[in-house]
Amino acid sequence: MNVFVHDPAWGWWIIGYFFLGGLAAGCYFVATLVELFGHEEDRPIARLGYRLAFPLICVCAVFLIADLDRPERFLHMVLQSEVMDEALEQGWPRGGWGTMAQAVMLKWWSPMSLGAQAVGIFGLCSFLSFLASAWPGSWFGRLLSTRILGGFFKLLGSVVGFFIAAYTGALLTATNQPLWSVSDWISPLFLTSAASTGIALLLLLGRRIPHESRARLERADLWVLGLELFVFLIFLASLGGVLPLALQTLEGMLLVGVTLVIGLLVPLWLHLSVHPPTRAAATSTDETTPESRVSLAAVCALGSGFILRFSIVRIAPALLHRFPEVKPSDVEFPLWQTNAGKALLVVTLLLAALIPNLLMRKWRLSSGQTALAGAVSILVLAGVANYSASPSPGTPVIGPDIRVRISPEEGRERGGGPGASNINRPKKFFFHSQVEQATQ
Amino acid sequence: MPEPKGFFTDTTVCIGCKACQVACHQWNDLPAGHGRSRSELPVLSGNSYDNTGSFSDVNWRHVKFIEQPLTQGPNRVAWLMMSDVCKHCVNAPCLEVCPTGAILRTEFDSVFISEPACNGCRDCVSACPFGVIHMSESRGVAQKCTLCYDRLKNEMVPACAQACPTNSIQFDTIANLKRRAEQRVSQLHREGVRAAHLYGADDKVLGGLNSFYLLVDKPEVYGLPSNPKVPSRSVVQSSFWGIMTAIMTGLGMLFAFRSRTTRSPLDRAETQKPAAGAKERPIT
Repeated sequence: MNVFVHDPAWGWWIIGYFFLGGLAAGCYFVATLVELFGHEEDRPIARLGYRLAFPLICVCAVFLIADLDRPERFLHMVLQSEVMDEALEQGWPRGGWGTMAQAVMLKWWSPMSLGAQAVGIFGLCSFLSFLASAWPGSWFGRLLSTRILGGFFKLLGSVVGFFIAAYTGALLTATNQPLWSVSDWISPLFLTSAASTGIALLLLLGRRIPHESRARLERADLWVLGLELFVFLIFLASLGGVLPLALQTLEGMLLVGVTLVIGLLVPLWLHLSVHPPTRAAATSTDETTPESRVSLAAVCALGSGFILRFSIVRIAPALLHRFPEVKPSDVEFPLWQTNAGKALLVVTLLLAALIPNLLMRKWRLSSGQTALAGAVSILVLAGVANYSASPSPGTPVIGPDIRVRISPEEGRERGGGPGASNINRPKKFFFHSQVEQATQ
Repeated sequence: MPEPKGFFTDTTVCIGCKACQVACHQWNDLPAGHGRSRSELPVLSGNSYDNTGSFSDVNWRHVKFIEQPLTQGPNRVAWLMMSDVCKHCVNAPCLEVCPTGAILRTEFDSVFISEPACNGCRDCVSACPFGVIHMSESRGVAQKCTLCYDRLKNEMVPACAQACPTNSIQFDTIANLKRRAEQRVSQLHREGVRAAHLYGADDKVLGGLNSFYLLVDKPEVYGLPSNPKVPSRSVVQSSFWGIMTAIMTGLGMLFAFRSRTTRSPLDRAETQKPAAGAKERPIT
């Protein structure tokens, strides 16, 4: 754990963006997947998802720009202004298209750069879907519901949605801050949280969705909550020796307590604890959980989704503040040797045995699906054990090590040219020269 | 193309005079305090000769006073002193992540923030493993040592190195500095300072540091991480697990929405009618 870094002071705007961006992405990819996999009567879910995703991402854009210290320069993340000026001088859009294409600012190895471009693409996709869902009978609405073009658009949309949900986690990992840079599992955690909060919002607002569709959405919710729980357990294990330190901060306690209990266990219990109805009582609530329980589960999922973003974003500065003198050797020990690690292993063992069992009963899974759920549980247990046994935080004892060199900056040698900056405004170089000022 | 240039800081001869800090402030026209008003004065730390405490938007150099308890001799405390600065890393984390392209590599192999391009996203602050970059409150852009780019352009030595009275901060080409640093280490070894070693002279730390140090204790004692990482190293691994999770989420949606919910034919007949009706109603 590197405690010599400085806090980037990412506060409420960023926490709000991570939460609402996840919500927008969750609503959107759930909507596209429902259209891809679902039945005709499931379409209202998709429509609701599209109508929520676009306004939400618009709010996100405002949050992102408001967070910048120089908001008026937000476009610098998308286009290199001086190259754009050159294209304009060449008469763009009548000419100068080649120059304009070079003006695009993209460092694909930097999650923030890639994310800035992806937010734009996601905004466009969600806008088109929003239009098509608002006027389904128009030529445009019919075009997006065609089998090939519409299907391709939905597939693309779901991929972009998944990206928006997950890249924020990768962005935190691609730093040198305590905790963030340790675990590779923040990105999957944010993705599953986006899915669970997205579905929670759809269930909360979609009371007029047909009954059978709601039942299917609840099934998806159960799956996603189970997956989020498993990913969360692996995330905790992957923190290794940093976890006991994190648990000594308020943010760490919120992260574990609220996410695990209120965000995951309570909603799962609310969904799964309904007794299978007797035949006589088999009315319209046969498959679905009662409305009040679903609403409560959804509110819990949404609230804890926000707390998850808050506690992860604020835990790095909290650790810097609380443990300014931690040495690397202080966090290099296997997690299972601590009480937190032992508790984590026991909880994982119990849940890995319980959840597939409950899912099987509630869902009446086929043998193939049961086998898959069981296999996932065993993998999770193995994953948690694998990380808990490793003395080095974030690195499992056995497993794929694909921490590979991807950026030109990392590939460069001393005096070896511009590296990552070869696309960095090479044409003009602004600097204030005190020498020239003194000689004038 | 000029040769790569940088600093070699020999911490064993630093006397903590802070002439480098003063020269840096003076040359780069940096105010004493951090506030919006130039008249605001820094608050004294009160517990050390180190009154600036850390790097900041106006302190591009920071002289550290590291107090170490002694077990032998008449003195109970000894100081390690070190004038810290941006390392101008060969594989610079800040430059790598900067999404606006405001951070760039100069012809001297140093790392430079082009202020008109910076929009204040603070990704470089989170990426720098040495805590060098800070945001200017008044101007809203990232700030750090420029290796006196304007002086180098005019074949002058950076202000701090010129001001250093003990030659603790030396400025030259990296090749010359390395040679001098190695000679100094072997001299110290001969004199019995076995712990003397170089930090950042070879390519082990971020491909090499263009501002490297001679230390006589572990890097952590000086507030330097021994094994900082290049941020993009984790991107592939994070993405791999992200993609796996996305596939599992997609599979869940497939299972949930492909199959019809199992219910008795009686219920289906009951619920089908309102379900068909609900499709017609607006759902917002």
